[in-house]
Amino acid sequence: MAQSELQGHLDAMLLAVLQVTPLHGYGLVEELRRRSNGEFDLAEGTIYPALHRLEGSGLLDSRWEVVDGRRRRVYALSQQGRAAAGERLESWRRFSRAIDAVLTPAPEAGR
Amino acid sequence: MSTPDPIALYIKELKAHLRARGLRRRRIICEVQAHLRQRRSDLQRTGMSEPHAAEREAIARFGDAQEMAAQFNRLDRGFRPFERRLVALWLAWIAAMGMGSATVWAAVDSSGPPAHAVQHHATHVGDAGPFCALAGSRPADLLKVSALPPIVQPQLRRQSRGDDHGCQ
Repeated sequence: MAQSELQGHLDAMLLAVLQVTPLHGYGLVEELRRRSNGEFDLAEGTIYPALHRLEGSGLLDSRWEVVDGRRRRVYALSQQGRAAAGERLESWRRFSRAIDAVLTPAPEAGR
Repeated sequence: MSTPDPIALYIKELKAHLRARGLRRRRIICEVQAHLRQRRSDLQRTGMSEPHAAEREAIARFGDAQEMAAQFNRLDRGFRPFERRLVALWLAWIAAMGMGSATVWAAVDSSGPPAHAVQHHATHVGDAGPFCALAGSRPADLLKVSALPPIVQPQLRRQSRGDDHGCQ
């Protein structure tokens, strides 16, 4: 999938992945790839500015942890982030249903 | 002579374009470095045995250093909340110093005591002391960290160090 298409949804995807468990950046990239069956192959570095921005907006908390012998910054949803993740999921579902309805050829009416 | 380590070169280029300073800069560098090293290890584990080839692939997957720095720099446009508070505090301090010195000079003008008496008063009277001590400072001196309230100085010094080391 094109990078530009992914970028618009990156925040929502990061929040969704972090709903399950706190993760560091590398773990998030791997989890996005796994969940999308390899379809979402974005430039790995792009998630870091997104994580910093989400943290700056109060949606994420982060702290240093030692993971597999390496010092990693681990991100978790804040309380505000949990609420935002739910809202974005709901908003995405509405949007996706609407797009689907438009793109799916409707049976020809009145013939 | 050994070939330069591609990850080290990447980090050097990132640093060259990154505007963030202090702890924030160190954090970005550490996160990027840890990511690249882990990707290199995983690539080596899955068959890319030549270390520099694995590093180059890790970098290719991560994205261009200049573009990465630009993305981080866009986040740093304008002051962040802590910095805004710091600047407000600093401006308040400057204003207070100005008012303090104006008060002292007004007292000198109206009561007309000898200059040495005012100077003595200024350096020994409790609240007015700091204002008077700085009243004769050159503007450049007022911009130094030492001219700021003591509570602000340690934080500013930490932020101005720009030390990028310490991440594993």
